[in-house]
Amino acid sequence: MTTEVTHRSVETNGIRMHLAEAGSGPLVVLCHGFPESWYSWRHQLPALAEAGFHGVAPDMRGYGRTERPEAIDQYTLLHLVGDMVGLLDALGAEQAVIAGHDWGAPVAWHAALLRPDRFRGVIGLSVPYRPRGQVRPTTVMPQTEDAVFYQLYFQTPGVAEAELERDVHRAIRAVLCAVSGDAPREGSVGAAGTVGMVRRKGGLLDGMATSAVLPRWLTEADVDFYVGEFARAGFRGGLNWYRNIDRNWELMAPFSAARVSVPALYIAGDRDLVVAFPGMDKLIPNLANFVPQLRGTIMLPGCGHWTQQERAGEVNAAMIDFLRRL
Amino acid sequence: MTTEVTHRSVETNGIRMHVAEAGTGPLVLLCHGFPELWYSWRHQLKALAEAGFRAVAPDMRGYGGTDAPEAIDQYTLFHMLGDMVGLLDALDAEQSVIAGHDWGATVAWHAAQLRPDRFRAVIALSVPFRARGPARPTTVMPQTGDEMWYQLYFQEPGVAEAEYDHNVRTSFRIGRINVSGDAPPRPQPFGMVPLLGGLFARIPAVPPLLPAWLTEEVVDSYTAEFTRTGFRGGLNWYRNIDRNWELLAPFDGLKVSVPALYIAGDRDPVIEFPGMDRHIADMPRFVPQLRRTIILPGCGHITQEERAGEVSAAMIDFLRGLATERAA
Repeated sequence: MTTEVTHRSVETNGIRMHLAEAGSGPLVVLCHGFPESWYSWRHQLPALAEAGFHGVAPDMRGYGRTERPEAIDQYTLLHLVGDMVGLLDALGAEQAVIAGHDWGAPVAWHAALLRPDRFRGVIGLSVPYRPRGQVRPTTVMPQTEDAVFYQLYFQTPGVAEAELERDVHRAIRAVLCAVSGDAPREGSVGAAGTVGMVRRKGGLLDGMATSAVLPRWLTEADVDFYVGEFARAGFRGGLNWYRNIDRNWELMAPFSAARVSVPALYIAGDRDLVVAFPGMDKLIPNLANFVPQLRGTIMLPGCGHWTQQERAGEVNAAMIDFLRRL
Repeated sequence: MTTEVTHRSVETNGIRMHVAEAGTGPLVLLCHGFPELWYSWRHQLKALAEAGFRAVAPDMRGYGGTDAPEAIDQYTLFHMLGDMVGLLDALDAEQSVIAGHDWGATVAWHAAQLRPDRFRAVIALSVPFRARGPARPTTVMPQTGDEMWYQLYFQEPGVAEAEYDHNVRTSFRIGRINVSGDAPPRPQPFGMVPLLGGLFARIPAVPPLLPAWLTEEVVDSYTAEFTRTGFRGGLNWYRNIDRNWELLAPFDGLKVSVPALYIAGDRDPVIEFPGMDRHIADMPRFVPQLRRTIILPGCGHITQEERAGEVSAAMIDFLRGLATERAA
């Protein structure tokens, strides 16, 4: 018998949100990243359900079958956390544990920071909690004469959309393969010294090897699912999250030096390009300074950026172990 | 001997902020409203200092000697709260009590709601805590073919600025009396601006006599400062009402968990605003540590200037009660 994943839409924070869910029991909300889908949690939904939890994975604001407001300023972190609080309300849940991967991790960390009364535990994959810095983030992102950090490349509306939507299949396949733990590092987007850099006379996909063979954790059917979603919904919604990085920094000023007070778990791959981003080598070993109830930091050897897809079994086990101890 | 009020500027949340301060002891921040200044707290600065507190009244973002960023989106509630948290950091204070009047009350309530670890208690004058509603605020503000709610009238950049700039002294002479307990009987409903004539259309031709709490010197002080700065900074606060509502979505249903005091005049037009009676009645539910609600008979909107003595005494009584609770 396999656990059934069901789908529905709910109203939250002024938008219709599509979600996939499985199981019953304590609620666990699963927030995906860029450029992804509820589908990125396909392995966790049945595992959590079978362990006695209610796993709920929405298409986040701007993605898949969830609404994608037009205006860029509708994608601030406060909108995204507002969506998650409204999701709990729509599900009739007083509390949840919130998990997030990639961009979904800052949503999860900040949900726990801002509403510890609603989010009683937090699990971050790939991206650790980052305390608010002293300066406007885009002003300190790496850029050289030849290349800019990919988050800067994403700032100008329309540019990355055009590149990624030109051939959605190629874009999805390249992105999923390039930052997987199995990808070669030399000359790629994850190469030492050039982590996340995009050449000014090029695009995001230029540095990404297009292998004919998919990594073991990814099937052609998986690729086709993502391609279908992004062919229909486009990349603009997800890209708009990046276009609020400076605005988020401004809006989070009231929370400077605030700590994430609920129990937390951080999991990342040691071959994830995110853990090689500037400053991460200082932050990750000291995460407990900002997340005093951090129960564990799990670094998965050989795992790349797609944590919960690359190492579904280990991530499931770690999540369930954390959840059971709460 | 009188208590000296001193002035300086600090850096907070990316702006220079002018503050007036007096006394030493536990810190109390005093947030003024529209269109006001640190000066609106001049009576409390001295009273609090003499009672053993360190009182700090900034010119809020957009006002007086504080920076006034150009862009409207630099005036969200989150910018104001960031200013207050940054002010605590600049003053090297781990915690403070935060008091506010009018728009400053909204800042104070939300500072206490969002950072109870930094703001250990809250005192609000005139404006009660208002739980976030289900609808975008400007969509439910009253308007007819002839009149518009003043907060809607403030939305269009430049319109209200121009009218205020031509009536600066009137704003602080007649305008303040009109919202005070000494106002002549008000047109009903109060707060509606006639589209023909604007904000100052209903100002009486013969200025009323000055009440005891308002002197020519006080009128001169406000007039001089707003003649210099204009009103745009303060008006920009209103232009973020819908944006604030959006940004507060994560905090839906979050209670104000710290001890609180609410003071308003029974002739304050704010407490007659649509829905305010419900907000005031609901406060114990959203502010479970609300210690007292004090309604001052005959007092209007300019709470801490109209009734300086009573407001200072109530604030000091509340502040001393906090110390007693902590000792207990």
